[in-house]
Amino acid sequence: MAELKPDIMRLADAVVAELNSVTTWPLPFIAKRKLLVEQTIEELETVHVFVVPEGMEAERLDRKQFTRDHRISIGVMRRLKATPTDTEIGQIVELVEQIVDRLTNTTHRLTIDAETGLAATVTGFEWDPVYWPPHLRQFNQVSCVPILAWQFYR
Amino acid sequence: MGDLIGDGASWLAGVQKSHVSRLVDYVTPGGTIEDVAATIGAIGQPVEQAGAMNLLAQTREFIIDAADLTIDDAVIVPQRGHQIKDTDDEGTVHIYQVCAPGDSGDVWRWGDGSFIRRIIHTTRIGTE
Repeated sequence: MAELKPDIMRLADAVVAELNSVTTWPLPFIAKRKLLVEQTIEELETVHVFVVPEGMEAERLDRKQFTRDHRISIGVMRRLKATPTDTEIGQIVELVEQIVDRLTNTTHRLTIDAETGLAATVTGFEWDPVYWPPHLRQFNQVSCVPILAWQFYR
Repeated sequence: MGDLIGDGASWLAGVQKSHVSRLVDYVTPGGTIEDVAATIGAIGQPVEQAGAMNLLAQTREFIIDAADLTIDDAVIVPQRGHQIKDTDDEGTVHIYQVCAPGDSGDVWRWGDGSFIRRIIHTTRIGTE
């Protein structure tokens, strides 16, 4: 039986492949697709990037058509030493900005399936808060979680 | 009449220190205080969320006499980033970082009304 893979998971896999294809990020990481992120802070000494299928939203355009947004969360997490400095926090925020910039580049379509020509492009994103203050206050942990909405095209 | 409550608290702190404590190292940027008697307080496993991401922590309170935390006669007040190194029975050194749980922002609080012991909040960040 052929493996069933929902579109949103294929999209998440394509995002992971896209992020891991770049070798010039300001901080090194290997992105992973996860359905459930449960990360101990002990393991976050280096930058971790998680790509998580978040949800879908649809809007009827007319009697025959819907637009459908697929939302993908990108969790960028790192624990810093002692009291983090603005520079250390800034480095991680800069990395997240670069990730978002790359994925929202309007000239860039993300190939989901080269055979069928299925691709996706970002229609919007939300990144609020920039980092989660409780994590920083409690654990010296910088957690940034932008959520990007995508639409498929053929 | 003397300070009955203060005397009682002091006695209790002494009993706790001599019978229910273990030796840990307290590490600050200015130096390490070795073999400090610490009683283990509350242990927790809070889950902090950031959107779809769950952050798992192991928190632990260390109860330490304020008078034992000194370097060159200077009193050390616990601060974020200080570490407590606790060696278990197998010889593994567990590292706990002083942190501020919840919304209070405080990394420690007094453990009694007589200001004898500090309850220091930490989270486990790994082993040596």
